Amino acid sequence: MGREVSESCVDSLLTEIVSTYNNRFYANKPELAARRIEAIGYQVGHQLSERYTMERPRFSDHLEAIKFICKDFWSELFKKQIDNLKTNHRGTFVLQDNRFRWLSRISTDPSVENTESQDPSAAAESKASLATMHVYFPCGIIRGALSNLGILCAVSADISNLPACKELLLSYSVLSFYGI
Amino acid sequence: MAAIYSLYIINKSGGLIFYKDYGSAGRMDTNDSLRVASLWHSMHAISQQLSPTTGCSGIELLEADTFDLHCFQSLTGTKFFVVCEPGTQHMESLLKVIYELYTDYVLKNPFYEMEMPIRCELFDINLSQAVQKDRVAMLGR
Amino acid sequence: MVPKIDKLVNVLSTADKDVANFQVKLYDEMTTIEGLTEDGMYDATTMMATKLDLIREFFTMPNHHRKRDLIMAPVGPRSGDAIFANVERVNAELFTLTYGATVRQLLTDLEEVEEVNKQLDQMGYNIGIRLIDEFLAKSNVTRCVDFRETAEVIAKVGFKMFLGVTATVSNWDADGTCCSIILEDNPLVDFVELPDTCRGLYYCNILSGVIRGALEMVSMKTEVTWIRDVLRGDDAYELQVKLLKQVPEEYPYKDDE
Repeated sequence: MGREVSESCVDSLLTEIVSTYNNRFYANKPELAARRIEAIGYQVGHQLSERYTMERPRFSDHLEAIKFICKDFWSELFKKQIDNLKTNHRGTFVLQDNRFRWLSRISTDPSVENTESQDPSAAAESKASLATMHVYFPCGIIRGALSNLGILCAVSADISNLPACKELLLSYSVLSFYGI
Repeated sequence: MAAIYSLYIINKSGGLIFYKDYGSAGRMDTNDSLRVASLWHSMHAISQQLSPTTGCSGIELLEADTFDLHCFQSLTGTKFFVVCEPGTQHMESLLKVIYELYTDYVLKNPFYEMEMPIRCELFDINLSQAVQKDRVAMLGR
Repeated sequence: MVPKIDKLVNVLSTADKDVANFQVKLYDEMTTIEGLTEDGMYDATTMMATKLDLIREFFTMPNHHRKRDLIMAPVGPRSGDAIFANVERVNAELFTLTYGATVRQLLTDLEEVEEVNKQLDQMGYNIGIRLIDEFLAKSNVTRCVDFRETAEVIAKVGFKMFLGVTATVSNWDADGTCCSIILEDNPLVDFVELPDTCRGLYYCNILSGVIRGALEMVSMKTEVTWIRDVLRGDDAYELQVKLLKQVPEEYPYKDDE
């Protein structure tokens, strides 16, 4: 088994990257913060895919590369595979992780829906956007890894039922720019 | 099996950041719980000074006719205390577990701001599991 | 055979065919708990045999809770190795590369190397003030008698628990308030080589921030500086930790205030 560090190291670092960019450097420009955080992920994904594909034959098509991300790559990072992979056969892939570790510590105020705040929808929205900040890094990782495998794509994430403890859905749409 | 009545967490400056009621006995409103917290914070500090033993870290157990109060203070100054039925076992271990849950589900939650009231669903869920009677018994092996 | 769960069978009734299957299932579940000894397993099943509700509870627990309840039940200070073996761990490569990419992004965004050093230190500080509680909760260390002991605990338990490596403490000054923490093996810098344009960069500055932040939370104001850095051509990583003042933990109000 390769070298390991405590999960807290990665968790703390990711939290701090987000707070550095989102709260300090670009406090009022979330889209800029997002781009920087994604760029950090992109580099990591790029480097990791280089290492994890070292002893593999070349991928014959996109699906094979995506499967590699879902299985081997994800297992190296999270000790589990992607739970569900869907595709529309036109270059869009949806990867779903039901228990995504990096969001597993994020929880919000359970009473937020019940409080009679001025504008509950705005409060909920700001929570969601904060959580969204934490998915740019993993999106960047996937994009970086795929681009290193020759697939140029855009990756976006959709988080649903965030505060729930048991199941955390995270799905990525991987939009391939050239058809299959 | 004896019952746990309530749990408090006080930050290092004496503010109540978490309060949970478990029993039906002695249910308190918000003001009362705040009062108990600040009273305990002061008593705890005074006890450190009055204690005849040097290097005393404050009251750990207060035994009354109708309840026991077990307190654990982390080295960083956060106090955790449970109020429970007299004679309830394994409370020191439970407080340690709660401290650990606090480090895992409160401090690692990116949205939690240090020293502020704790409003984390994951902490609530894990905490309610930990204080279940069965689980507390497991600590006493 | 599944020797250690015999007791359960006696309790549940030996006539039941399902019990054997159940026993195997429980045994399988137990063996997934890293670090649970045979004795520990025996204790746990014995306990479950007396409280059958616990079994149901056990199956619904996530693995890290099992670990915590069955192995990490508080029993006095633990060694760095023991803690590291029982915390959730991840691939170090991911950590190393993420840190590297962060430093690189900061260099691009901030341009000034000095400014990057400052940001890394700040990030470390913010991490340290939270991480200290996890450290205390999981290590069960008690109050250190003096700064010497504190430094040893950081080097032997702290570094081990989080980074999986141990450091050594040396170069004490006469009054015991200043020492060096020396790190031979540093996972932050695997695969790193600094380009010439980064002269003046303290690549691992996040570490000094973490130590400073963590110690501040236990009432010690410190100054942490790099003395040696392999990336700058030295033979080891050496951090100097200087105790500036120890804030007394007494009640802060005097009688006359």
